Amino acid sequence: MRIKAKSKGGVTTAKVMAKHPMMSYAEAEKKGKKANFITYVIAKVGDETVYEASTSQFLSKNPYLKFAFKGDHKGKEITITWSDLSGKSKTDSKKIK
Amino acid sequence: MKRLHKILLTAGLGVLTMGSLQADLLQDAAAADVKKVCDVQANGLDKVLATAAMYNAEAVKLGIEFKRLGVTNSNYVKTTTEAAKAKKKEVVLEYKKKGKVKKQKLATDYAAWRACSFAIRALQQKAEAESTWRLAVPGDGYKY
Amino acid sequence: MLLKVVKISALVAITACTLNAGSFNTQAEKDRQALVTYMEAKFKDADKNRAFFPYSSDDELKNNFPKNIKEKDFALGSYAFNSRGKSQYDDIKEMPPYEDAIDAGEELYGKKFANGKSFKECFPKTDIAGNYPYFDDKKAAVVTLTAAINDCLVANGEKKWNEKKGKLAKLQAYFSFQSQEAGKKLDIKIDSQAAADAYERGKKEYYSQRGYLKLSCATCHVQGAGQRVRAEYMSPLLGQVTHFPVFRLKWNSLGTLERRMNGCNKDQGENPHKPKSKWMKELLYFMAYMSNGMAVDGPDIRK
Repeated sequence: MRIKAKSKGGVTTAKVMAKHPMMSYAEAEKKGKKANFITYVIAKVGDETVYEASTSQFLSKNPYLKFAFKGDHKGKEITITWSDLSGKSKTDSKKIK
Repeated sequence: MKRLHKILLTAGLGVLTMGSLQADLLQDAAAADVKKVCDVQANGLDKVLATAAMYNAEAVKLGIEFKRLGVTNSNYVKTTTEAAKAKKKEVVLEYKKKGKVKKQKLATDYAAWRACSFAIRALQQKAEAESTWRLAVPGDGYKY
Repeated sequence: MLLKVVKISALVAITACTLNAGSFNTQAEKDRQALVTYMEAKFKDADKNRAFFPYSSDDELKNNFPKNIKEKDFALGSYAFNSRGKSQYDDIKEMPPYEDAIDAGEELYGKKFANGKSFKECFPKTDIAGNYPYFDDKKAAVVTLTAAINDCLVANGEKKWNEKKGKLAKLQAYFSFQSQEAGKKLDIKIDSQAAADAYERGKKEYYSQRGYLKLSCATCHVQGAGQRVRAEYMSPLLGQVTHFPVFRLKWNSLGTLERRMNGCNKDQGENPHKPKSKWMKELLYFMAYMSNGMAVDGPDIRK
């Protein structure tokens, strides 16, 4: 996962690009593979959840998510976890600038 | 010393003749009337294909052979010649696109015309470009 | 008296020689300036200069083309004069898809060959992307970065890499990025008659019509710059090579300049010239000189 997070003017903006094939059902059928895509994303700073989303096959390959939340969190770590249809999940963290 | 001179002279002459042979094909092509020379009805399939092969060889040497929709002119020449020998009415050209083999079907007569006209036009364009290229250069022949 | 005359003539002769030594790129400089003048004039006010854009719509000339585009702006390619495209480009640049390639390139740079050496021996500095192509007087040939990388591999007993994509493109992405970070500009040299001749041959090829569609490179990228082929704007020759290797959305991967050139050949209806051919190298030498002095800004995204 590539994570970029910056705090400015009391707002923190995070940009995340996950590495995932995000294969939809239609594409999977065409290619003879199993459908698999990220279904859930959660971002936390410390114990606080700052972003949470249910996602589906509508996101493209290597999806790019951008979100903002209140507060100046410079120096803290943002931790992002995604889980996918197959049950696999991945977590990555990055310091907020 | 005399021998060296002789060798150099013959070598020089050899280079000149080779050079002029090449220039000959280019000049021939430049002067050719494509519609007449590549007309299958008028000249016969075999003659048109022979013309195509001759000029295309030159085009390949100069690095200017045409490639249209995945099919190189060498492919047109070779496959059509084979089809003509086997007296087939249709030519099936195979070419690769993204690793997969694709097919293009053409009438043999049309394919022969194509092979011939592609070969000659490639050479004609090269000859023509010699005198026209500067017209596109800003600061040279291009006026705006 | 005679001695004085001899001394003066000797001095004049030497000065003439040194002055001449820098003059091999005179014609190239003239060509480059003429190109800059043309592009800046053309795109000064697209709406007013309609003669340059016979097939463009009112809307795009009025609303899509910014005015007064200057030399360095052209490095953005068609995004320089396609405002709508530029906003899409800016969005993608927030998280560019080539960042992994740069990291991979850095790894390849330091990775040891079987003989214990690495690219570090061939390329002691990494901010060198703007120095290629150059004319090697000893080899009497143009050396492109692609060729230099493969030469290094072969010299160290390794197999050549594919000249269009994959590892070679990634290593180029690293060099290009390092050059961009160091603020380097394209520094193309024409230091000998042989080099000037190679430049002239490349120039001739650029402007000669070829292929089934009888298009020259200039048809699309000089006279055609700013015009469209269906929905796509054609990019200008000025600033064209500064941003390679390029992550092209059409390929969904990184490709070298040679990879794009092959595509162009096919678009013209000609069998593509090989990346290692003299034709390709001399053409790239010419193209690079046309962007001489512009900042290296690769790798970048294009459609």
